[in-house]
Amino acid sequence: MRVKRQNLKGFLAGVLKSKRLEIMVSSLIIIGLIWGGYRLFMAGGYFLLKQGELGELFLDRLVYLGWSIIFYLLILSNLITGFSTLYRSPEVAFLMTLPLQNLRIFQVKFFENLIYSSWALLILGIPLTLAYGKLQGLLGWQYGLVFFTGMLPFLFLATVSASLLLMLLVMLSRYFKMRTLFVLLGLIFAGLFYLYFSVSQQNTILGGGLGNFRALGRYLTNLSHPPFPLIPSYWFTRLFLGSAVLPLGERFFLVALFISTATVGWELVKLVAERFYYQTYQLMEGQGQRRKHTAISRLFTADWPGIQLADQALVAKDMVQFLRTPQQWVQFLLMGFFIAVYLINLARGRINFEELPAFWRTTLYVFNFGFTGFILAALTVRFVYPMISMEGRSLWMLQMAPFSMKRLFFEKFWFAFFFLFTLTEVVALSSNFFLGQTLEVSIITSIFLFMTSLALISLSLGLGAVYAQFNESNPMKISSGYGGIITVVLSLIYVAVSVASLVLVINLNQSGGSHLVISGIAGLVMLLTLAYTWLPLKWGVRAVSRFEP
Amino acid sequence: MIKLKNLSKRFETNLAVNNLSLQVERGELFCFLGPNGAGKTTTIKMMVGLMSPTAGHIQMGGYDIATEPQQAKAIIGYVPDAAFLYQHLTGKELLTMVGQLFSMPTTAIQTKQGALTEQLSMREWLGDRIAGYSQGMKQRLAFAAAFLHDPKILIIDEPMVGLDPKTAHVIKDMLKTMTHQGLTAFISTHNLSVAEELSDRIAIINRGKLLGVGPVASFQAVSGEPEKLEARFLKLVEEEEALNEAPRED
Repeated sequence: MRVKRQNLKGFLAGVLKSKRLEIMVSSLIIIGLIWGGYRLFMAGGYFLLKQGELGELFLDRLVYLGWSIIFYLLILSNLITGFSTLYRSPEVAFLMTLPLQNLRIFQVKFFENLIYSSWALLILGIPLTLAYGKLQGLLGWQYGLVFFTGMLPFLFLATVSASLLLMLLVMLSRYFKMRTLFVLLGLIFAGLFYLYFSVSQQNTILGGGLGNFRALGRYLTNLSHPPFPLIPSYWFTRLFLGSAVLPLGERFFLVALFISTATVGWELVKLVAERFYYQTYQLMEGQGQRRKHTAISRLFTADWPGIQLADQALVAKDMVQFLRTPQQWVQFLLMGFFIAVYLINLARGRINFEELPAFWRTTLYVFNFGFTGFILAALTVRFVYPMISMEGRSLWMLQMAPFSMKRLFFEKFWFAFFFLFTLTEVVALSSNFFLGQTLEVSIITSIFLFMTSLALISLSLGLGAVYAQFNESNPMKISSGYGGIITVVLSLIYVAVSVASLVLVINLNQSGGSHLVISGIAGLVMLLTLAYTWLPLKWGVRAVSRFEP
Repeated sequence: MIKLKNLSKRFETNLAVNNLSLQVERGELFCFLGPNGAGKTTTIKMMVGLMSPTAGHIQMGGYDIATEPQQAKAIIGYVPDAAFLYQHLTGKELLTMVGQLFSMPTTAIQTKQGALTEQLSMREWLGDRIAGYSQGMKQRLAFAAAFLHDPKILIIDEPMVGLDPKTAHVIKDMLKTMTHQGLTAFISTHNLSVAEELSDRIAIINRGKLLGVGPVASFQAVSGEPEKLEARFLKLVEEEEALNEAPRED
């Protein structure tokens, strides 16, 4: 711990001295994100509150559902980062050789994992809870109190749950492959989600059309009784309710509940770690020794018609590495799962979209486009941004080969483009189909998404090369660095501008606006796309050509 | 085969390589000697195109590494001092990938891979993931990757690091045979016995400056002491250090 503290002090002193500009820019970006998020959530909240009591209930349920999903995602995210922080870290291997108690090592890495997996949520949580607290009429000091006594234990409990789960998974890896265990875990989570939605019948307000009052009544009943009052997200959202709804006694009870559960959780995880951490660490170490003759190897030797051998080698290497890195494919599967849930809900929503008024159809279309753009932004930052850094210290092998680094850069570009553009097109076209949109609208969406894919993939790959971190092997840590934050912000700005332009164009078109203005807006979006594509690609190629090991 | 002309490399205030000029002929086994931080690895990284020189020119097999890097790299094999290899691949996959990067036909890759597997005794573990390899296994695999495309120039940074005596012996034999067949080998080391045993000529470098170059025998003749090359090496380095006291890193 002392060494960690000294390291941190030295690191902070060094950063403050050498990276003042980067710190200033990062701080401005974070403040901007918090402010922008706050305004956005406030606007959304006001809109719902204006709808009367139904809107109020809907807002409460939406916040509860949101934090429940966040809690599960946080556990999964902790699980993925914990895998590399607690077990696959060279630092742990070094610490294990020192005269330190295994429990001390676990504790240090536990807090490291907590910080890595939670800091982004902490930043997102500030505007969300600020807006919700303000809408609920919380005073400043009340907000401060519930934020620190609620938010921090909330994050802490997710790390505790994930650490316990992780040790259990590693123990079970004696009998099953890690891949099988993660898939099983994913299926359990999927099953829990399905059960939750089936039991609570969240979609009944949509079922049978808006005129079905029996369904509406059932939905309202469900709204007023959250089904799982024993999970931290329920206590957390209750804490932010205004004084008129939540008596002071219950607020203190919830605070005490959070603190006591976190304390018990901490003691429990320490007890388990003391007994099993070293044992599970040894199990993970042993796994590297196992023989791995797998079908994936055939990617190298299979005949790829029309593809040059060097390109085949690069693509096969990237695919094999991806499939053998649990942090990568587990998270990709997780995102795929959420996309599937979204599409299944649209398909089974039983709404007759063709009977909806034009305004609602347009709103749903724009929301769907924004959702797809957001998915693409999340995928590019998480998976494309670390692609160059993931070459790590083995990059010399490619630098030594008789081809240019520019070729390596574009191999990664086309690799990412092929998979992500295909995925987003499938999401967009199938959701448009379920939303009953016309062929013309689907074609326009495809064109927009083509431009969005070009822009966001170029941005992530280019900035990922400029801010490459070859000494870091954890892709999540790479994505959450300084360059990653800039990429997230720029990607979200692009998606926001695209959606806003689309809304403008649709409105102008429906109100018989000037074609010149519409063309002008389309031209501006194209210019923006060009800048987002060309500049990062140029910077990225320049950066990879100059890498010196 | 290898020509370095007025080569310099500066890292901010540190001059790691200082106006170095060298020439190595075809079929020669050349050893590049120097203490830790002398500038050996920096020179090698510039020769293989991993670093750009601050000044000077490098020709490998007649190709300028700065202006014709792809032609030059196609005839170079390189073994670094610490071989960082793709951890998630198996040794077999790595060798296939390297062969493909050098545009070798699949059959040629398989034939050469089979031969190297036997020579370097890698059959037992070549199908395992590299993450589980020991340092010596990684080093053997790095040698196999460097030999795979039949390079005309082989550049090795500290060749015997991590190797067991048997493999070290095999590597030395392979180097001797291959240089007789026309391979040019440039070996950087601070292990003087390796240099004495293998090299046709040696160069001694310290603080980025060339202190001497010539056949091993010429150094031994000058020394006239029982330690032979070691004594001469130490004397040259100490003389140079007495002249220059500013600390410097590789």
